[in-house]
Parts: sequence; structure tokens; C-alpha cells
Amino acid sequence: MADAYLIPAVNGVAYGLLLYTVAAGLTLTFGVAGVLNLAHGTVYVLGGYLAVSLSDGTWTGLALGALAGTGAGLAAGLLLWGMLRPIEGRGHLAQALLTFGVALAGGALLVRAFGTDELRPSLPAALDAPVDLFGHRYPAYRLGFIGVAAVLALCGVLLVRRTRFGAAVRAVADDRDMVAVLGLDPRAVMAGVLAAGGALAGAAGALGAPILGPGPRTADTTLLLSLIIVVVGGLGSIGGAFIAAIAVGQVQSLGVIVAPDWAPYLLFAAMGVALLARRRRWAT
Amino acid sequence: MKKWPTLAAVAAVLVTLVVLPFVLRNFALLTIARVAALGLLAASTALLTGTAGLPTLGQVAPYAVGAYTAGHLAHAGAVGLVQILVAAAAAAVFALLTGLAVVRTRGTVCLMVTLAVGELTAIAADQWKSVTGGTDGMARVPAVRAFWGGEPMLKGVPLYVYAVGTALVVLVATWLMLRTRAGALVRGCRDNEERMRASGHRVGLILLLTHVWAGAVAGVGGALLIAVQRYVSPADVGFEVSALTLLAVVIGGAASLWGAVAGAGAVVAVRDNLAPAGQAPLLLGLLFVAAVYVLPRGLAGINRRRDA
Amino acid sequence: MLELRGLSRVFGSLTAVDGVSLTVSSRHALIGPNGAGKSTLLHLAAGNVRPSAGRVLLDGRDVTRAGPGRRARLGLGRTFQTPALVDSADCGTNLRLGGRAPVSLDDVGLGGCERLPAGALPHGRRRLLEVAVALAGAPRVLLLDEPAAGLGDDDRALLLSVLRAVEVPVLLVEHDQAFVRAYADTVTVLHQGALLASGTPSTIAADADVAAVYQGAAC
Repeated sequence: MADAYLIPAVNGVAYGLLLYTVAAGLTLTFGVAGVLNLAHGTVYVLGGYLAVSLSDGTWTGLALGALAGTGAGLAAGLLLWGMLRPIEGRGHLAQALLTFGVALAGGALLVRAFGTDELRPSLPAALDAPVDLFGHRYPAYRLGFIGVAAVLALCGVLLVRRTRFGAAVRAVADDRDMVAVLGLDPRAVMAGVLAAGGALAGAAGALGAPILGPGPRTADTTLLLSLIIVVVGGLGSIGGAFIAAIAVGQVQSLGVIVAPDWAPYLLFAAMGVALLARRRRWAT
Repeated sequence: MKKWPTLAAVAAVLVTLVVLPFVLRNFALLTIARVAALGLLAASTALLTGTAGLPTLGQVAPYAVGAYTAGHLAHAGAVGLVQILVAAAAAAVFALLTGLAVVRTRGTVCLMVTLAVGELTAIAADQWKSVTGGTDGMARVPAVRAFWGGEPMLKGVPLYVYAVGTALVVLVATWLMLRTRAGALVRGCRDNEERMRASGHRVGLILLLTHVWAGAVAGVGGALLIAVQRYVSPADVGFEVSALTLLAVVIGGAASLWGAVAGAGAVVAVRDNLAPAGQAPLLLGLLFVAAVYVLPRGLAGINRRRDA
Repeated sequence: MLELRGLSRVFGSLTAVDGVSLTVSSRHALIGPNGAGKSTLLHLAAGNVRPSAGRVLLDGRDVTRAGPGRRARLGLGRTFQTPALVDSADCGTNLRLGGRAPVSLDDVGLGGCERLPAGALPHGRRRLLEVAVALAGAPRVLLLDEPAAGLGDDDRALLLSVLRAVEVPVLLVEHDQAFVRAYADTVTVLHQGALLASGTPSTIAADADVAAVYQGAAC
């Protein structure tokens, strides 16, 4: 019965859009500043924990949570920028290792503060209630999330493709020497990009908490799936990342129902195919 | 090229290794045996990261393949030697398949891809109940006999000799390999890929073969883990172990095999003795950050890579 | 022999190389003002860049779709604008990595440097080592990217004598006009990606169009 797959498929879309937002933040930092931020998942979880703490079943609580998550993410991004400054000339590996350490330590601190359960925020009653979707009952929040995330994704694409700011971002992502050519201060660019990436992750964490809630394994899962999306999507292709995100979302939700044991191998295979199909080698 | 201080140091280490079984107690010897297993994992990471210029967070994957393979063989009654050889072969095949994709990447992208490979393998280990026992892992592995006609190794001394001996053989073999033309080829690919290509060398193939060798080394480490612990679970091959390994490599100097092993020892010593229960990730994370700030040499050899 | 037929390379709206054809069968220099496309043409010949149009033939064999590694194995040797060496390895190892042809460090004035790390050499010596490495590969055609750049008089003289002893066709991109006059027997001038003139060094030196291009390019 195709019916039985409708709900997981819709879940997959929601999940995919959420992952796309997270992966977008990772790509932004990686593409423009060349920094592989392995603490990205930790920032997502931070946003989630804040949203959970501030949510109290009211719309205000929801809004506060979203704001707090975004703000904390932005702050985390700036903190990371500060930590990366002293090792600026030491190459991309050193930066990645630093963020790795931050992810480990930060994750441990968050678990200490919030415990080892996977948490969910309390939503306002209107959003918690199910809605009728083709004869099935479906959580209103997720539908709302899909709508909002899709709009935001579209805005993001338009921003990058149609504005001068977006053109500058793409130019710098293509060739980091462009920063000087465009007359921008490289330190400001790095700070801005890390802050923006962090804000995206924090916002995604806060708003996505009802779908992918904060817990001890969430940071790893989020980071892993984002990395896979970035690689499969073609390392910098916005359209590619979007398709990859939806696909990964489906693997994680629909895939779990249809063929529960196959998820890791599918993801393995997708990455392998993406890398083998590319003619050019990828470097930083 | 051999200097007296180096020879003296090597002699001192060898003498110490020989004397330790007479001096240390069972538990300490078992710990060292476990360090031997992790040391091979760290050495394989150093081989790829420092010598080949392919920074990797994914060597836990062939390590896991080696461990679970050895575990099955142990249940089937195979002797240690067979376990080691088959585990190395299985890990090498795995490294060949993943290597086809990994050697197409460089730098940060390589780190991303290998991280994903490592994580996905840990998840597969968690889910593939029929082969790996799932989350509970593979337990009650029979004690390993090193050779046909040998005694099952349960105590510290035989396991120490088995593990440290095997690790030494593998490390020396790798070290010797790197002193031949093969080593020059690998280092050449790391330092100036464009030049190597322009001289007609097949860079991708050289890196792939190195990736396979490193996989085999990690696989042997996994086999040693099974012999010592007689138990393996996804926790032994997860994110934290990757972190531990990379920290060991950073501390030991990325391009040094022996440094990586020493680093593994240091990290295990710190974790077992200084970390209060359950605080290992926090400590590891802080150590990582500290190591990056304090040890620029730890990453020597990797940042020299010139991307073509 | 190296043949470039109708090679073009377009980057978006910028045409770096525009339908250039030339045959390298002797000591062939490629000159032109900055931005003329000389480096791009050399990269096209070497296989580092894919052409938008045209073909590259090495001893009659079409290597257009072959990458730099494959072209090297088919007999194409080259040096780079910045001498490309394995700095962590010593001179002897670098030479051996280049190939098995009977070229020795003595031939390039580096006798006794067998154990010296290539990274420790000054620029001129690095260039000479790089040429030796390229020659060690027994190339059938040699591509040189501004080999004389930054060389002192002694090193330049040594480079000239080394290159004069090379018996295979050589294509060299060079700004140093004196070096070109001393070494090349054919000169091709590129301007704005297209072939402007081709001939012997003296013909080119006397060519009014070429002179105009260099005057114009000075501003």
C-alpha cells in the first residue's frame, strides 16, 4: 500500500530540508573560508537544547527558543573564529583538528548540562495537533516546517544566485584570493562566514528540534549527514546539495521503514559514486 | 644516516620491552598489549596523514574489519597467525574499495570523506547484527592460540609478547618499506604531486597502494584487539577512538610511525589514569585543542602538501 | 615532434588561446607580451588544461584527451614556472624519481649534491636540478616554462649549454630575449591568444608588427 509510505516520505522531506539548512551552513564556512567546522553539529545541538529549555507550550516560548538558538549559534561561530585566529597560518588541517577538539569538549559539556536523553521541546497546542493530510493525521509542525524551510531555501538560492553579495560569496568560494581582489578584509570575511554558518546551525537546531531533537548522539549524526550531503551534492553546488539533502532525508526516514539495515551502505555507495563520477580531484 | 644516539635509544627501548614482562603485573602488561593494538591503528593513520599527505579520520574502519574478522575466526578455532593474516587481508580489500574514492580527494575534503567512512562503518557495525552482533558486539571470544599446538593466551605475559611482537614486526616492515623507493614515491606524491605526474608516475595508484597497506596495518591492530580483549563492540571502533587515534598522531608528530605509537601510549595512559569516569570525551577534546595550539610540529609534513 | 592544431581555450567570455597551430620539431621559443596566452598554451600542450577546441599530437599520436601523467609516460617532459621538486628528498632521489635515463648531477653542475635536500638549493640550482629531472625521464619532447627566469649569469650560461646538448625538440616559453636569441632556431609570437608571427629569431626581431605589439603592451 503506497499509503503506508506517505507519512515516512513526508517525514523524509521535512528531515531533508532540515539537513539542507545545516549542510548549507557547513558549505558556507567550508567554501568561503576553507574551514572544515567539525563543531557544526555541536552548534546545532546547542540551538536545540536552548529551544527545549525555553519552550513552554506557548508561541512566545517557541519564538524565544528560535531567537536564542540563532543568537547562540552566531556567538558560537564568533567564538570559533577567535579560537582559530592564533593558528591562522597553519593550514586547513590544523583548523579542522581544532574544531574537532571543540566538538568533543563542547559535546561533553552539553551532555553534562542537559543529560543523556534525547529531548523534544514543548510546542504550542496548535502546532502539536495533527492535521489531515490525504486521509492521514500528520503533525502540523512538520508541515509548517516544510513550508518555512522551503521558502528559506529558495530565498537562500536567490540570495546566492541573484545578488551582488551572493556573487561575491561565490567568487570567494571559487578562489580565496578573490577576497583581496574584491577589496574585502579576509578576517572580517572569515568572522562573518563563521558567524553566519553558526547562526544557521543554531536556528536549524532550535526550529528542527521537534524533528531531530538534541541528544548525546545528535551532534555526530548531524555532522555526518551534513558531510555526506556536501560530498554527494558536489561540494559547493547549491542545487546538488538540495537534491542530496532530500535524498538523504528519504534514506533516513523512508529507507528505515523499507530496508532498515541498508541505510549506511546506501550512504556509503552514494558518496563513492559521487566521488568516482567526478573527473576533477577535490582539494581545499 | 644512523646516528649513535638513535641506535642507543632503539637499544634502550628494545631492552625495556624485553625486561617489562618480568617486572610488571598482569594488568599493566595487558594494557600495554592493548596499546600495541591501538598503536598500529595510530601508525596506519600516521602513514596516510603524514607520509602520504592524506589526512584521515577513518582508519577505524579497516581496524573494525580486522577486529570482527579475527573475532569470527577465533570462534571458528583459527590460530592467532591465521587470524592476523586473514584480518589484514580483509582490511586490505576494504581499504582497496574505499581507497578508490578516498584517493580522489585531498586535504580537508579527504578529512571529510574519511570521517564519513569511519562513522558509517561504526553505524554498520551497530546494525549488522548477524555479522557483528550489533550494539552488544561480539563477546566471549575464545582465547587465542598464537600458533598450532600453542596454549590459549589468557594471561598478561603471553598476550604481551604476542601483541608487542606482532606490532613490532608490522611496524618494522612498514618502516623498511618506506626506506625503499616506494617511500620516496609516496613522499614525492605528498610534496609535489604535479612534479610526480610530470615525470610519468601514477600518483593515484601510488596513493591507493599506500591506502591499502595502511588498511592492512589497521586490520592487524584489530586482530590484536580481539586477542587481548576477547570482545569487540561498536564502541571500540567509534568516533571517540578516531579522535584518540588522531590525537596520538598529532602528539607523536604526524609523519612518524614510532611517534604515533608513542602517542597512542601517552593518550591511553592519560585517559586511563587522569580521566574521571565518563569524562574521557571532555578531556580528549581539551587535549586536542591544547595540542593544536602547542604542538605545531605535530602537524609537520601535512601542511607541506601543495594541491595541484 | 609535438604538433598543436587549432588549439583554443575559452574561460567564460575570455579567450585565452585562439586557434593556435604550431609544430615543435627543433628549438622552438614561444614569446609575447604578458597575457598573450603563452602559459595557457604550454599548459594545453602539457595536459594540465583541457582545450575548448583543437588537438595535441605527440609523435603523431593524438594525446588531446590524455592527462599530464599519461603524456609524460608517452614521452613529454616539462619544467614549471616555479621549479617543481620534491623538497623533502635529496637531489639524488629527485633525479632518480625523474627517471632512469643516464643524466647525472654532474651534467648540471650539481656534482656532490647527491645527499643535499632539494629544498636547500638556491633558485638557480633548483632550476638546473629540475631540468635534469625532466631529462632523466628520457623525454621525446621537452616543454620549458620560463627556464631562464631569475637565473644569475653563471647559471644561465650553464643552462644554455645543458639545453644545447638536448637532442629532442624543445618548446620553451621565455621572456628573456637574449636567451631566446642564443638558443632558439624558431620563434613564435603570441598576441592576445592568437599566433601573430613565426620565423627565425632574426626575422622576428626585424618584424614591425611584433615590435608594435611589444611597444603597445608596454603601456
